[in-house]
Amino acid sequence: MRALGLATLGLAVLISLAQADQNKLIISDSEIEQVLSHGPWPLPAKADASNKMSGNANAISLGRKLFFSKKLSSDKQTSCATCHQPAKAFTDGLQRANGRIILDRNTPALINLRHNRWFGWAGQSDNLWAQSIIPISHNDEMDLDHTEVTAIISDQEFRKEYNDLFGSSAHIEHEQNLVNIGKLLAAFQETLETESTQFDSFRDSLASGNRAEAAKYPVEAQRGLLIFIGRGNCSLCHTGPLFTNGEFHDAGVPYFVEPGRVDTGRHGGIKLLKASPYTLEGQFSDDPGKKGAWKVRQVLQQHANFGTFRVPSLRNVANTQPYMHNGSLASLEEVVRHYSNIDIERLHADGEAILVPLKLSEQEIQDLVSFLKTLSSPVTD
Amino acid sequence: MAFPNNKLKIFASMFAINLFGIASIVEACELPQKWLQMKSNDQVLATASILFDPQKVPLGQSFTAQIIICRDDDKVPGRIGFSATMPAHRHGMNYRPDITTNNHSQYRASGLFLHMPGEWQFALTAYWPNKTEYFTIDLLVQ
Repeated sequence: MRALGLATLGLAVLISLAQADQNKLIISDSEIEQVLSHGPWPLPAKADASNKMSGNANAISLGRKLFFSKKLSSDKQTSCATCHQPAKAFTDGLQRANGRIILDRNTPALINLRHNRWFGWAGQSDNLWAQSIIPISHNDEMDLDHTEVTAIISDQEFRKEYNDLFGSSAHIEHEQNLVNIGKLLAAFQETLETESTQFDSFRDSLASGNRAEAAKYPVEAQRGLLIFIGRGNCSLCHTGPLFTNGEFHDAGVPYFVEPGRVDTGRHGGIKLLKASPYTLEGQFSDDPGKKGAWKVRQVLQQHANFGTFRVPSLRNVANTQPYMHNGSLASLEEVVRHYSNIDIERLHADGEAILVPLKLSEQEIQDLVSFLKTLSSPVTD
Repeated sequence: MAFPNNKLKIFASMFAINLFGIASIVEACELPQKWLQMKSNDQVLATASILFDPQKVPLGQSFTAQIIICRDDDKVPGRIGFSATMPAHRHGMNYRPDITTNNHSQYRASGLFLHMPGEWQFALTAYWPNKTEYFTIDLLVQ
């Protein structure tokens, strides 16, 4: 009995000590400003001037229908949702996307896209409707010809709604019908946004000076956050409320797809962008002022772009495994270990000098993962 | 340093207001305090001043810079080069700025874009037929 009593007392002391470790704010005043820069969330929603369907409720409804329709593929077996599955944060959980063949890159999550500057792992599009057109017409993906697009959108399932928005599809050029479908899909995808997260609650508490509320944020996540904004240098590239700077970097992930073939990344993406008729500078943009066209006009093609890929947002990152442009890292822990042990010899010789092996302890790795998990929330549309 | 002659000052001021929308009358080379002086390590004949818009240079948004180059002998550079780098990270901007001029030593660089927080160095190169001069200014952007 006495032994049981002592054991119970010991357990109570241990639990008490563990709880004392929580409800503690370990972020210093000088670090708070950096933390605040990762919000507020959500960001204001602005309509896309290049897409006259942006924010239009009827367009969003038709765009949703098209997103889930297998009629948008040559084999009638594939829809956008085949790879961008709602239950998997609008990705597919596979290492590389499975189109008509295994594609070179991981399926990106279609969330919070309205805030992007570039689209696709290589930034081959400067707007969402242009990016939405690519898989529809690509031979290795949905493989639809322009002429087939007109036939599909004239189908009774879509015809009335489409004609109400654009006029009769029969009187519209095939290519314009394809662009219009891209704009409908974009209007729908713009609505896929994440809600406020555990991190946002913490950040907002700090912003309002409510330290007691902020202290409820798990202390292991706070430790991970301090690595993120401190010696990890993660916030150099994963900046701001979206946790991405939206640009392109070499993360030390090999860009060989298979022996003798490489993924050129941003270098190839800029070539595709400059050749595309669907940019913000082109005739299909609905914005007469061509706002945003400065990007495609002034983007620099540099040798150092070779093998760099767009920095993904870390919002909902815990739900979008596997990771990196080729899906080569299966878990958040593997990603953190990758940066902890990075081989700088694998980085671009004339590239930027930012990444160094972090040499994190096991506890630090777990803390960083704990922080990243607090960036998740449900996706609403 | 002697200032440019009065005729040039008046002409430059008018042109500056019309072309570059400078809010108050700016006499060439007599600039309000909000303009920043760029540094040069060389034996230079000119001074270079810069005004960012917005004044607090933003991270992750495009912005512009107005540049004025002054020389005692009023000679206008044939052309200029303007860029920004992060020396510690060994990279520059991902976009080429679009530079326009009123051909009176006043320039406007648009489409400037800084994608990473930290120390940036803006570098200006001014080319005259017989001399090239270099100017820099360092900014911490957060």
